[in-house]
Amino acid sequence: MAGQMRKALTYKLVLLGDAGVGKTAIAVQFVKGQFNPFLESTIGASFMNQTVTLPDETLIKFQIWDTAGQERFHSLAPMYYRGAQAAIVVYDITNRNSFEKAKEWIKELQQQGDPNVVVAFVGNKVDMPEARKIQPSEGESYASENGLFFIETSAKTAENVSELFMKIAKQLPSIQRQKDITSGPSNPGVKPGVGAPSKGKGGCCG
Amino acid sequence: MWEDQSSSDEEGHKLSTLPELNSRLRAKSSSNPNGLEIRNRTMSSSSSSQSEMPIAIMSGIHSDRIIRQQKKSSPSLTNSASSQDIENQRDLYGFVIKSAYSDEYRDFMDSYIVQLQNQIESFGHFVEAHQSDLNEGHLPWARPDSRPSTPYGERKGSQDLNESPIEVTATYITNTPTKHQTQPDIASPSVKSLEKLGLRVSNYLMSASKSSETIFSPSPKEQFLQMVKKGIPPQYRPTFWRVFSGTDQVMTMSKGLYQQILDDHSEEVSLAVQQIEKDINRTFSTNIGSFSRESLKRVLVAYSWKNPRVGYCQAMNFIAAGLLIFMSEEEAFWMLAFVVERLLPNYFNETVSGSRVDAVILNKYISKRMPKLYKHLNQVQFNVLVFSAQWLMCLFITSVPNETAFRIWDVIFYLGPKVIFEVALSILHLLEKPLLEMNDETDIGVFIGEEVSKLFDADQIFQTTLKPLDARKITKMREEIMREIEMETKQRTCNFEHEELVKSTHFELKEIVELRRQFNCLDLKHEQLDNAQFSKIMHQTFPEWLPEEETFITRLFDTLDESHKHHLHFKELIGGLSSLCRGSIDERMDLCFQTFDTDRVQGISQDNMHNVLSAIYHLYHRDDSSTEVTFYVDLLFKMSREENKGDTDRVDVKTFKSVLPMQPFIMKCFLLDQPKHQRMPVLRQTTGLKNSNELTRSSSSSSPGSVLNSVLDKLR
Repeated sequence: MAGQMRKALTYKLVLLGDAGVGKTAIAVQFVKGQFNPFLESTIGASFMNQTVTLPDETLIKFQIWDTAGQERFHSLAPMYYRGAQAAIVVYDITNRNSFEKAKEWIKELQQQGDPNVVVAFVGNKVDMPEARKIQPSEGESYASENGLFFIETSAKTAENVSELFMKIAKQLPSIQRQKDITSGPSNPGVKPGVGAPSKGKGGCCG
Repeated sequence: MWEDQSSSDEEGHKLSTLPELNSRLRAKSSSNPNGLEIRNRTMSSSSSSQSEMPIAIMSGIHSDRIIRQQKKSSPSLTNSASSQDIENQRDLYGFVIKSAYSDEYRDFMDSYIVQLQNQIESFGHFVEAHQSDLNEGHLPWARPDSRPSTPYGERKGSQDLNESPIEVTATYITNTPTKHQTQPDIASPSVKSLEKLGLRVSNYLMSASKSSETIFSPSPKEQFLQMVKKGIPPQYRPTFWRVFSGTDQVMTMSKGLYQQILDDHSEEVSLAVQQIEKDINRTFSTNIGSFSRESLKRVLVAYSWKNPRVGYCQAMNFIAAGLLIFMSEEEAFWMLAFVVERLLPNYFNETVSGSRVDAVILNKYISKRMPKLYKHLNQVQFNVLVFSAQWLMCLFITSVPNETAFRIWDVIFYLGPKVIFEVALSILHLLEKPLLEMNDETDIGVFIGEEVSKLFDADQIFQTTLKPLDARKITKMREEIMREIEMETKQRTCNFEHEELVKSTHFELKEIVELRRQFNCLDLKHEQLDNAQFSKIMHQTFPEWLPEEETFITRLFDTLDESHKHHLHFKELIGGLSSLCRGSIDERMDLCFQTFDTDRVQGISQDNMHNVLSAIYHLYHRDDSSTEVTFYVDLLFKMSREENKGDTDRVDVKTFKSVLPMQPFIMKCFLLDQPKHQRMPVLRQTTGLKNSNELTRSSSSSSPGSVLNSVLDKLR
């Protein structure tokens, strides 16, 4: 895979988080550059594709699996995150409950998901600072404790949205290469985030 | 009913809930203060040209005026939707048609208009011929007196063909509620309940499938089915959907209940209500005005109170909105009940298990009807749930174009749940060839989504070459698979509990699994252990304890019964046995303290101490050893008072632990005399001691008297 420069590397990315935190909004902002405050509630899952180019000209194609957030759809989730190489776990910075839910998702991914999955811990809706309930430091510290990378976004203003995906993209090939080098075809026991240092050190080319 | 919905009052509600529309209307307020004028205009232009037809047909439905308005207005509320919306074509129901598909849509509509006109005519005749039947809530051939059925084509009352179909509808619809009111009871026993309707539908299916094979000319039912498959014209949908689903009967029986529920709970807020409020604007968000968002909220809220077990599940919002496009709030409410409780059972519960059940059924049918596709999807690890969750939970309305969805609803409401599978299979059949070429699960998901969203022609779906399914088989499969899924869920919960127990106890996973196996073999109610069963287990695990000595074991039972419900769950039992049989000295001492601390106040009273210690003595020898017990208790409390330098009447953990080694029977009972004990609990049904030798051996293994002497020595 490493040799094919022109061809896009394809990665499955899954969006997880409580209902109404802005999962679909983040995906739509990233893929279409649009924002709609009343996006349809997602039932089951929906799909989008988007390709990004890294500074080293590597093409990364994201297959985005956007999932339903309502608690009762949780039982369907394993089927959606199965085989995902990246996960974005979203909470709403104005909603404490959604932050707790996001932590549960992280726990579940760590227990059930592919150990190589790159996990981003995302606080959305920074365009509403007056309603903020979760300080950035709180998200940041949870993320670093769990070896995830952390970023705050606004799907509304597009703040940090493409940065989020670029950061994930940068870390993906590095893990891919690491995988090729270290253990060949079998699954290496890399814990989530090992290849994904937080605070934006940029795992890819480093 | 109908008038209610399109009254200007209702209109006001609609507008107030739609910021988009408000802003648009504000911008246009000089010319059109309330949109009514537009409706009149479109109604009058109904017969002008073919391109106007969709609107004319829909003019019984309030969305038309919005469609028109949409094309002309320019201001908008969101930065994203704005520029597109104006360009975008909207369908019959005021939903945006993706610009990429607008040509396809236009082409389709040109031919569909003709079909729709014919349908309006056919249904017009049918309704006229069978109005009294329909008013009673059933179809003519389902009458109990088995009156010879009237073919729908027979034209009684010689309708003027030039008459506007809308007016016919209007007459019919205004008549309906009046007739309902004058009809106190349901006349026909065959239509008393929804179940009966279901039965009738399946009976009908049987006869229909037989008759189509043996008789050349199709039966009236078969003819009617064909008519339904071609699409019930929008203005007739409320009537037929009510009749098909039995909602007519339910509404007569439960008159006023809908409003009653709303009134009873008008001040209340629940989790469901909060979720509903969030979702109201997230339901068909690009649609403007074809249903009232206030009505949508009331229908969903009322249903969440009617059926608190379900409450509110996303997907119900789309179904309710779809119903509200055609029906009054109350009708939509009862239709929603029909969908949630009858068509899609267990779909919207806490684990959406019904939708998983039906995904399994769908998968089974794919394997039978399209084995190649099934094999291929398996090879690329594509799970049908990826699309079926949305198709099935929303009855296709969020996946296929609206008219297609409503035509699917026509047939689903008529023939029941089997149609859901038939439609899903038919769609997959249409896409089979390209799907066989695709190897990536996301590509497949995207492809199916795109193809389905431009399935404008529902005829394609119904003209499938696939064999129809057997409704009874599906009912049976649903039950069977539900049972399997429940078992699996239980197993998963078990596995999770086992993993947690490995962390929290001293047992290994395989020991816990074995203990669970033994536990499951016990004759338990609700997988809970009562005191008597616990006693048997304890006697088996501690054969040295004298039989029929229950006081101490009851005390231990109460200690482990953390929930105070007078029974032990597996987790509670295993937790206790772990501490007792495998715990560190300290852990065993803690358990010991808790057992003595009868009042659960972190302090043992003299009475507690005396009672539990007597019970322990009785475990080892039956003789009345009250002097010994009294002596020991007095001693303990004397020491405790000395240590605490005060007149405390309770012994705390620290003191208790420090003097424990002085009481041989307690030590023995809690295995404290064996620093590294690795006893394995026995959870068997049979009573009696497994090994009587062990009893004699262990009871004579140490000499309590000598220990007591040494304690006394120490204290002197």
